[in-house]
Amino acid sequence: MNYYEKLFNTQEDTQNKINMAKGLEENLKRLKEMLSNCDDIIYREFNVGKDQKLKFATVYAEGLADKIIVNEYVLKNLMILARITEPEVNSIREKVYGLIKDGVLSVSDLKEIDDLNEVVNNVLSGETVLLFDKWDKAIVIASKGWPMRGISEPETDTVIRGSREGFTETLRVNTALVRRRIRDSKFKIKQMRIGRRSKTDVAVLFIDGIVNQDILKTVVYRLKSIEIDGILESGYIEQLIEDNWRSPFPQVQSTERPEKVAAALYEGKVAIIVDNTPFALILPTTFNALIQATEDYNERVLITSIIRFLRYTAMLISVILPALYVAMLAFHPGMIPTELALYIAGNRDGVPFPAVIEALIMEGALELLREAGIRLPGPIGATIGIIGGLVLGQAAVDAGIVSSLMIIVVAITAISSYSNPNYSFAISFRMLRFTYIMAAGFLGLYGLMLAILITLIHLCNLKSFGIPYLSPFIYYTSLKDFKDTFIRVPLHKMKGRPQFIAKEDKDRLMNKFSRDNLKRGEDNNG
Amino acid sequence: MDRIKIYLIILIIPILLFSGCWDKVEIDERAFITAIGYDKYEGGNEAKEENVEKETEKEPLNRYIRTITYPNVSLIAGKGQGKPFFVYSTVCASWADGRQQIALRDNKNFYVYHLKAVIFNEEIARDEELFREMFDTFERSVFLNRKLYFFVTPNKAQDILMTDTGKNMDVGLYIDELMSKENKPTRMAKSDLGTIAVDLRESNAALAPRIIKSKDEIKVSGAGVLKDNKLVGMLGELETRDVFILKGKVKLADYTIKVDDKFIVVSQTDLKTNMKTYEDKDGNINVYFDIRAEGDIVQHYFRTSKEPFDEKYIDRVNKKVNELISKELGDVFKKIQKDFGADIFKVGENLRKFHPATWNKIKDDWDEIYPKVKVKVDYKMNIRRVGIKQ
Repeated sequence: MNYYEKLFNTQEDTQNKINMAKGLEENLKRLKEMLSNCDDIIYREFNVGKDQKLKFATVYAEGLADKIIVNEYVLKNLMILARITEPEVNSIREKVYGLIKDGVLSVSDLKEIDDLNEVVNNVLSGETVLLFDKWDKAIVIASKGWPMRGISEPETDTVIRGSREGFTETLRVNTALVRRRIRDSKFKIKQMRIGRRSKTDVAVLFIDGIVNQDILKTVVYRLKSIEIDGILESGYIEQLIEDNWRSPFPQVQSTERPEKVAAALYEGKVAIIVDNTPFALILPTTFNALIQATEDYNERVLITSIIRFLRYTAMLISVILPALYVAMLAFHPGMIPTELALYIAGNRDGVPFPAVIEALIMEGALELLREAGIRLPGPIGATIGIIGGLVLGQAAVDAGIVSSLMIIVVAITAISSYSNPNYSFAISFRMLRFTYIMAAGFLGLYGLMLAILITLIHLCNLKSFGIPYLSPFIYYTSLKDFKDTFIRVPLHKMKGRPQFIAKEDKDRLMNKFSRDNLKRGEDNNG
Repeated sequence: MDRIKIYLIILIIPILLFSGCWDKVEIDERAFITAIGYDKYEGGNEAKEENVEKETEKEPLNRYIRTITYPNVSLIAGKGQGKPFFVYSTVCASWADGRQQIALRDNKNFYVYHLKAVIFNEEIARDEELFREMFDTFERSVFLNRKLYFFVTPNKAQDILMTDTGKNMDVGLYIDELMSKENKPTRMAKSDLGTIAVDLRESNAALAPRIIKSKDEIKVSGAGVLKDNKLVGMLGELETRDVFILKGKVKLADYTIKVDDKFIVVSQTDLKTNMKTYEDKDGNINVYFDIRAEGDIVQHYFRTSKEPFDEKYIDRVNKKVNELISKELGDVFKKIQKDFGADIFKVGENLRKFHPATWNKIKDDWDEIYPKVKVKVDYKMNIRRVGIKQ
């Protein structure tokens, strides 16, 4: 057993092994007992051989197994073709098994098992099991083939320039999507089953030689310690293994984009792909990584840097703007330029609520609109946005319930908030905003600063799988790490992987690459 | 461990909360005072307040008439109608007394952070006691902006604040815009509360802009000369301009000059002033102003297009201008020196900085020495632009 096998070695079969009986009838009987009242299981018994003396049976779950495989390559071969080819006259029964396995079934993936529990597991995950009479082993024929959604563009995380492929609900397709981006033998996909009943396939992806072993160990340890009956979405896993559940900030990055996963793996991170969900998990993640968009690396450097800077500003605005506005209005009008202060005062004339309440009402309405927009089907959702945003806002101003400046503030905040590329990150900021508004409403700028300080203290304290959340700002390892923060330096200058994650093989771009070389090549050609 | 944590939280939360700002006043409930005026209370002619009860134990100490104005913000935001501004006058003993009295008469919370202008009637400014009291209040207050404009006026401050500028704005904002506009008129004093306070401390003299009301207009022109913590006199518009050229704070000035029977206007641009002080052999203090400027003929005479392009003619104009302006500036310096004895050019300060030995010798008698200081103004203008020739 090599290192990784040991690491991933699970005591998967905690259940007692049930040895198979020799007789087909017996085995089928026991299987039917175990799978009683499961009407989606199909049992097909048939006879093979010229003289129809060999009894066989296939078991598979309808809807999960590909019927074409079963019919064309298993049943047809065994029932018709095996009859045409005359078997050796004196073939002993023991030989039949080897013969069928190696010579009849034209299916690429075969496996033999001798445990009835395994038979059940395999049937339930979509494989077809072939049982023989008078033989205590079964053949598992890979026949997984259920109707699945094609690869389509992800709904979240959309890009203008970049791959349009998104993960689907099938684990194998997803790992293949990543594999296509890392054709390296060092890229490992280790699979485990989590969930006592759901037996969900969970794949851990990493690149041997780059991955930070400490993080990998932590991840595997935490995954192994999950004892739950069912995993329905990667969110379950995220919440079960994250460091601090009280924190408003996501400590695991989820994405629908295979290239994002590949990029993370190249940085020495670990990815987890869970069956039945298009959302893969990337860990550890940092504050900085959550603000980066996929496109940042596809677009040219100057534009990216400006946009990156804009995004940071937007993040700041989305958290503090309404709170700042409330604090300025209620406590520190002296800090507003005179003309603006007078304008705001006039604008708010007659508004019956204090600025805090006004802000809370409007922000609340906005969150409500957002929630309603998600729940409603597409076209209606957009309508709700327009009706809510424009009509309601205008009506509120006309009625004098809120001041028009507050609408502007809320709108700017909302726009800034949606510019955040990571949904769960943006939503945590939106929730923080309410706290900040309250703090500013009661204690003014002092309160706002207090709230920001508490948030910062928390952020400094937060870790994601052993990596400080605010890396590289608070966990200094190398100046190189700052090349991909507020601004992004050109790719040819970004030679290292994140130094706080990658412990070995720290360079991604070899030293011999330089812009000068490119020019020299040009000269030679010319 | 948990108990310690709880104790800590119980300890920390009140500290954080009670040190917060609990003085919330919504912005629309405030009245932003933009200008305050002070007049001397003479007694008699003000309508006596009808005191319902004789609650004051002693006769109120009435010394000032304090007038405030604040704009009608609804009008600024484009909703609501009514007067563009509100004015309140009270008779009071001090700033604080006035504030208390006025608070009884208005439904808004008064707020002075955005105060733009303070106007002192000449009589108050000339009264050292009252001036020092008031000026100290302004300088001491943490709520007042040091950039606010401090005016003296020969008219009543109350009248000025009540002026309707006809632009739907109150006088404070009007003055603020007037004083801070991009193309600053050169004939007004450019100093605010902060500069005046610093000047008075440094050289015991300062210039405060003068504001004048005539009929339905107000204008800021000329300057009041402050010395020994009171107003000692006023300067006219052109004098003020000349003073500020000498102080090096004017960048542009127009002069009308008669050359060869023709009145031509030469605009002085890029004015650069350099003041030097020194003690000569006889022990006299000398001030030397070296002023460089560029000239721009903005008005000549129709159909005499050759002249402005004649080098000799230009030389003559240069010479004439230099002579004339040098004399005019020198005269202004002498006037202030002789009439007011106010060292508004900071000659003493210059000596202290560059000739400390001399300054230490004479600083005690500076008030006597200053009027005897010899001045030489060297104005060197060169015409660079003459306009377009058809």
